[in-house]
Amino acid sequence: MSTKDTEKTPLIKTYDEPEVELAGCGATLPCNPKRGLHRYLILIIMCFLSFGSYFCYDNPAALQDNMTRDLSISVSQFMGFYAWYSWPNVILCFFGGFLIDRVMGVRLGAVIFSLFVTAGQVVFALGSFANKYWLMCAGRFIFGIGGESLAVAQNTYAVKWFQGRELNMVFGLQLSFSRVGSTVNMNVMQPLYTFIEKWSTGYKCLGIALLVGAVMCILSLLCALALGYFDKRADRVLKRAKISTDEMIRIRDVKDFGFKFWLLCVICVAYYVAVFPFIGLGLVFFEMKWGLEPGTANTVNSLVYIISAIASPLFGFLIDKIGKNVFWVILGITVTIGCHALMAFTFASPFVAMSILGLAYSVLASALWPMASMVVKQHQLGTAYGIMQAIQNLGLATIAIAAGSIVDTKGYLILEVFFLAWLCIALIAAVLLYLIDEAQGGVLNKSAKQRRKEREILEEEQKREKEAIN
Amino acid sequence: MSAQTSFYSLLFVTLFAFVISNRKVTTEIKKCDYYNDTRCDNLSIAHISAEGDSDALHYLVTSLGMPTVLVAKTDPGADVTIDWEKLLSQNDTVRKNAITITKKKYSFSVMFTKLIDYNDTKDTADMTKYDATSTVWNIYDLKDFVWANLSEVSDTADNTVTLKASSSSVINPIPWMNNGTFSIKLNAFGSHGREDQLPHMQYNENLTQFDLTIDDLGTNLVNSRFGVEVLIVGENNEAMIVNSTKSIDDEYSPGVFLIYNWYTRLTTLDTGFLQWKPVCYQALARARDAATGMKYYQLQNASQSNQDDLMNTIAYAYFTDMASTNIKAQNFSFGIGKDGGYNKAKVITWSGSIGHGKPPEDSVSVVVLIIILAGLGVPVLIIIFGGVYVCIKKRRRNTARQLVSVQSNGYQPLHGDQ
Repeated sequence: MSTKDTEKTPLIKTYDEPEVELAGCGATLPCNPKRGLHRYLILIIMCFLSFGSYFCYDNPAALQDNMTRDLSISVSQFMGFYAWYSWPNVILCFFGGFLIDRVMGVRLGAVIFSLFVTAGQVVFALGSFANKYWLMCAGRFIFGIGGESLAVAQNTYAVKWFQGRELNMVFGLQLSFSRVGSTVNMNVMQPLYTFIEKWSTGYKCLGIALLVGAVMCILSLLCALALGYFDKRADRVLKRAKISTDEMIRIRDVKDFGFKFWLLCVICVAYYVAVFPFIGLGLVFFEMKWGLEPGTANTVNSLVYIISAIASPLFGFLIDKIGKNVFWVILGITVTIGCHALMAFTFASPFVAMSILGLAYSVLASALWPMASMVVKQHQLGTAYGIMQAIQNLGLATIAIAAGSIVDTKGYLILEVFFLAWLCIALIAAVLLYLIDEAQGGVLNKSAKQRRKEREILEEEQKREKEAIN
Repeated sequence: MSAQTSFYSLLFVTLFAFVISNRKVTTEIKKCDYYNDTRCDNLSIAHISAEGDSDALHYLVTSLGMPTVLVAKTDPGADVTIDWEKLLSQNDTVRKNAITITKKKYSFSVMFTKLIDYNDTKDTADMTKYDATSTVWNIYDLKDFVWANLSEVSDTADNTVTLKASSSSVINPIPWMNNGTFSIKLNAFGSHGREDQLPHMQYNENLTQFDLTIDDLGTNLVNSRFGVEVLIVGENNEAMIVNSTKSIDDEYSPGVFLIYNWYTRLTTLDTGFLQWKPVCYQALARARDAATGMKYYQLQNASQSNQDDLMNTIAYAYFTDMASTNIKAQNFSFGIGKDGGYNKAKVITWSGSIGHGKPPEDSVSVVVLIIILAGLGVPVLIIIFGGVYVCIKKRRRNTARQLVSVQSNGYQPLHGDQ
């Protein structure tokens, strides 16, 4: 498709390029892009595309005590690593999609962002090796430029290969697999560090451990290259039309977003800041309050990830079937408040609280994000999600630092109270959302049954209208 | 009684309770004045008295024999007398009764006996992992340290008494090769509050806080870690016990959820205690990033050398019948594995308190309670009022809809099937 589609080119096109002949092993079942098996093999590579970035994102959380000790940094400096990851994404989540669709193309985009991720992690590791805090922050910044955008590239690939087939399942699988990356990181980094300690100590040992993380990024980079190759080949063989999401980000659209959308943003920020910075600080909290060994503490800390890896697709499916999204959001926030309260005010085992937190987080995430599409017009959805993610990243960056300095000066009880306060804000916003929505007719909290019925009625009316016109 | 008068009486009772719970604290350094020669050089005993309305606490602090704090609870207006001639006598029998405190109700004594420096080759910060031969131990008797004159390093106006060893010792020069110091600073309070520095321990009128500081002491060990041995003599032969209390509130000492109390007897609240948090600092200016853990070990019976050393302390001169006292020793070691050990900063600071009665307990502060109540209360209120509002609104809408359907049934539809 060398010619660009314009209004004048017919929708149904005929191509006079010759059919590409597949020969040899290229025509076998697993290698033939026309066959389902090939798609599923590609899906495996696709899942590993962002494995490295998710593995490395939570490297600091898995090694918190080692980092603060080896680098002699405070907890707020430590949380700076997370903040520096989030800063570029405050802006980039508007442009990630645009860059991939319009500027680089998904193949080049995935490779470039993988390179950023790998380079970022290498700089992070070298910074540790040289015991230079600022260099490590720079590494996290570079890593952040690549990380989130790589996830966008991954989604674009998924759309390209699976649109009209099992797209939702593929999205769910990718998300679950990224959580697996985080879980593996949490459970592997401590033993790895202890292993490396046989030859090296202090920040050098830390640097080597982080370099092993970079190997994971290189693995992802190889996946990006392989995907690029197979994607180009499939384009040639299948003559796929170029997918363009047509979603221009227009900041001017912001003025059209209603109050309900902004409430969604508040819930999104206030909830996520009480989960992710908490996981970043979890290791030492579990060690200090419950006297857990670093290995066990990391396992507890990874519970949220591994549980959401399994539960997220499940809840996603269920909430799609049931509807009542606002109810699920309120439930998710309330249960999360319960979990944080349990960890703040009791000495009850954090295993229980973190497991339930994992479930609550999965419920919330499955119910919250689809709501944006219900309160915003379809063509503005790209901008809406961009804004939600930008605000979320802004929240994560600032709250990460605030949380770190609270631990430094006021301790973990106040930290938990701080997170509880944010969750209460999320709860207030969710309840307000329910009330306002209910007052306006209750669009968001309809059951899926009602939605289907209304859609049928609408379609019926449209059909009748059409007939009337004819 | 009207509501107003009952309010005032309540206020008065509260104020009164507040007043009587405070004590008037004074510190006096009693210099040895009996001999005019080296026997009295640099020798003194600090007497901190905390007089309340119904009782009094007396602390005698000295480096004589070894760093010792003798604590006596008495009725108000008790007399504390020191007979220097008897106290400095070489005769064990004469030394008895050299110190007398009248009107006493209960007393105990805390002594810092030994400073331990060991080579933690396994980096576990656990002294039980080694026996006498499996690593190098430098054990210093604190009685051999050369202690500065109390009046020169203490601040009596602030009720602060410091026991400070710094000059070189003839017995073992290793600790003093860098001109470092070892000191124990005691601070008594007349009311309750919290220490300014970490770990911000709570104090009240019934205790004296101590800050133990190891500042640039020398060591010849590569993986050096320090520890101290503490001895407590309780007046009665009742069981001593170490209890740990968990607190959810680490507001004042971030990351520390435990507090330990070593009770001289647990049968009554009329007990002596040594309270500490399992945290020490690898810096003189304490900060959270300099914090490291510490470990305590099982209570032990006093060794023979402990008992011999005890003979030269003010405890021996005060407790007339040592046989009926209970003496227990306990080791503390500073640091946790992988924290870099002593050689990282060559500084260790640690705090605790020595007192009588019920030790302070951490409780969740009012600010935290207010935030929690407000944070959880507001959403609950919104849910209740909002719920009522929505119910009313729904009912209205339903009635309106019914009305509409009644009306529509009454009329011929516009798009009839014609």
